[in-house]
Amino acid sequence: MAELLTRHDVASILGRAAFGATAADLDLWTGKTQDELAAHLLAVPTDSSGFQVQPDEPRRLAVTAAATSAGRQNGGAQLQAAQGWWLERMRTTTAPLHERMTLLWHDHFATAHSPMLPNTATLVLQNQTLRAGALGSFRGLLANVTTDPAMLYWLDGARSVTGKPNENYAREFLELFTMGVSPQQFTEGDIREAARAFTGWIVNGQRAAAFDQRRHDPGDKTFLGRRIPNLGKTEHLAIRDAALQTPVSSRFLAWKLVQKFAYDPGPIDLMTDADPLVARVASTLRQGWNIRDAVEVMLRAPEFRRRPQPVARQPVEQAVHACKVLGVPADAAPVIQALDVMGQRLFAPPNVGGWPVDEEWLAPGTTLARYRLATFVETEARRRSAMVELPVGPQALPESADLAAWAARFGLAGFSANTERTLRGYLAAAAGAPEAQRQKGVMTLVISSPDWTVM
Amino acid sequence: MSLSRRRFIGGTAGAAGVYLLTPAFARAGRAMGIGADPALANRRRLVVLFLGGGNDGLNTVVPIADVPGAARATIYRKLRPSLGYAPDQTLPLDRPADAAHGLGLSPSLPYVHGLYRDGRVAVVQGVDYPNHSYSHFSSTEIWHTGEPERSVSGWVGRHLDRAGLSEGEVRAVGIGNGLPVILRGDARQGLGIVNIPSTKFADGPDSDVHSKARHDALGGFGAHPEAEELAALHGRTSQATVGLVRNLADTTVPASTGSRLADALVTARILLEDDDLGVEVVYLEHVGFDTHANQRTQQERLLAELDAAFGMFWTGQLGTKKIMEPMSPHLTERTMVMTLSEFGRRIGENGAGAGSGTDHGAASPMFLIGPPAPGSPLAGGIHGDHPDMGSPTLPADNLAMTTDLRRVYESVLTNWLHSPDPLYRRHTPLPGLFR
Repeated sequence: MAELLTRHDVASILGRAAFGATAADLDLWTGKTQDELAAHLLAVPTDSSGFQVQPDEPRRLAVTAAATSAGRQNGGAQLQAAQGWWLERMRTTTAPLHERMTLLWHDHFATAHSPMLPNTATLVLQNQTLRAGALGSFRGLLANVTTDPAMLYWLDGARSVTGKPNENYAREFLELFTMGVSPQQFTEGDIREAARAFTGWIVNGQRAAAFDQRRHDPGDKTFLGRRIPNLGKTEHLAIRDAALQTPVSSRFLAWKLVQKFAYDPGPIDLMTDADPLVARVASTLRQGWNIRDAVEVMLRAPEFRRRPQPVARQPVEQAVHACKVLGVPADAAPVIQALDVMGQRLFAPPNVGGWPVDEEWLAPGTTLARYRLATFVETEARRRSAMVELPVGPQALPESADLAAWAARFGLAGFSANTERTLRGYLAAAAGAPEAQRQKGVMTLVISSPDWTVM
Repeated sequence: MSLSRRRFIGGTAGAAGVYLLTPAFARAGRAMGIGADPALANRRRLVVLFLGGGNDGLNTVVPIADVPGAARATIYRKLRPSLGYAPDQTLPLDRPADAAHGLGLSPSLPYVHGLYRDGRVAVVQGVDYPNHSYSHFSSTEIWHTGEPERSVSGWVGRHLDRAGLSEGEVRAVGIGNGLPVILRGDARQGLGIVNIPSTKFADGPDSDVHSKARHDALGGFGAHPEAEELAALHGRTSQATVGLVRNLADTTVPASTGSRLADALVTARILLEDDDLGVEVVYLEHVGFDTHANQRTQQERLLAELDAAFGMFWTGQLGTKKIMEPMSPHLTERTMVMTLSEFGRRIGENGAGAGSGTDHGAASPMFLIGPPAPGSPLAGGIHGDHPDMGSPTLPADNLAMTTDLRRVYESVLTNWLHSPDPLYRRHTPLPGLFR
């Protein structure tokens, strides 16, 4: 008989898989089994409705971006609109696992807004491609990313031409997307040959990917020890298949999935060290590269319920969860600005390696930006609470000293000893303060607490 | 990248007291009854600027004339028909003894060129490490750790480990998101801040009694014991943050300049100028140098921004706009800036025409910019050997290392920061780089 989920288990699982639990989630899933919760998360139908880009916006934005350095760095109004759209979608979706995996693939195939990318629209289209394939076949997703217009711009595939191929995409395809470098199982020669094989893809006037035979290198290539004849438009699939048939690729992708979804297995030699969960996910991937199956292995794993080590949640996960439990829209400008300073700008990862993990999120700048986020969210929550006429209801806030009610409100099973003592100390120091100030203090401090970041 | 990113942290996981993240700066230490270093005002300062993405060395320090035994300018022009600079487009390096090198500076670096002519700039050629990695992530980590063969902490962090810091003293600050590897030692580390303007509480200063109670509590997360390492680090970071904000509360900062790098250098100036803070090393980044395409446009824009920001750092002027006072003679005499990048780029260009770029390469030049000569310990001019570029009929693909980066680091630590004992046993300071 399977061990039933505790409130802590539910908070922990949904904290990583679904942008955090709500009080209702804790009540619903406590006492059920982990397999039931996994099945629920996987069963919710996917939602692929898209963000509508204003037709005339890209051109206007391109002009603005070219005008100023600040425009280039901030990406302009369209980028903020797209960020807000996705954040709010994460908060309100009925398919949170699906959004969580879309975020994971955005991190894995990290593509950023930059002077090289003509507009945000291509990034939003890539986002739809990632969402459509988020729980499907990794082989299909990889092929779609290789010929994705935003990626063709971002890693210069669209500029790569026979005779003088551009190695940018080929290198990251092997190092970051399929095989990793721990240990490195490909050579500089393999990168050059893959770059030759990827030539020919361009982005046409309609911002769609197209294959131009004249730009493609027609010669034979020798990649990972095998000869690849000229296959033209489908040659990138032969490169993909060769890379995914190496013994290291399933382990690398499994390692990455575990690191970004469950916990950081740490730096391991993928060919000799075995993290048990990484090994099981890798074995599942080898049976057909089905992402949904791999995610299911993680969701049902004891290591996902009680992780071998805690993780620091990404700023986006923290912010969306805070907005969700307090009923505050996540597309508000202050949320986006706080995430900017916390270092996680959607559609603008720092580089092709994606975002950092764990302790790299913990720095004074991040602390202050999270405090800024907390201040905004709690102010909004109190404002919205005051607009509700009934004294009780979903928007009513707990009394400041009722810490158990606050934990439930924030979707936590309870507070750690440190957080409990800090909150009690605060309430004692603020004993004479008005109740609204005390509520403000508690909410700001919960979002600023180790309990909110480290799960 | 990620596979190796945590490796040195992993090695210390679980050890108590590993993350000695501190209440921030000597001033706070003094308030806690810990004596501040009386020599703070006279301490040498170092600014480390990382050019992220892999700056193309050949279009930064350009071969403009062949020299006996090396047809570098001929090879450069042949392999870079689209990207190459003609000799008269560059700013010639023409100090005494420079003729033997046949080099010119990127036209985007007029301010740096002026400093060079004044004898304040040392160019170290062909810097890299053995068994070069072409990966951004692996190579960046090696430049940060200064150890190509072992998994270790950052080289500035290890300097902090052996610098005899008092408990609670912060000598190194990283400007940007998170804390860079370079500032992480085994026992000590620097502090990462975004910038001074953003280093304040969103709900107002301590003067409001309600805000102050919340800030006290925020710092209190670090005061209680935590069993778990990440949660403990979170708490200590909160505590350090509150100390940092309170230390900087009285500091006035100019409005944003519009240049991210210039803003970071404004923050660096403020941190370095306040003798009370005792900041010795500031680390910052200027990113976007991964010029696989459109290299001329991109690199010229980035180097021009760098040049202008350097001008602001010393003169207080960004272009014609006054941002802050010129750097005081006291600080100028004690401040050196050095540039690093994870690698240079290949000799030959990819693609054709204005849109072309270069792929990941190996060795590249470093800049060290010191106080005005005479009196500066840094010897301006060209140091080390230029990497071999092959022959016009059989050009090299890449630039191989002529100077090991560890020798440059050892020079800086020993001869500039007066580190009490060497970081490396087998890598000695470069002769002649410092007087």
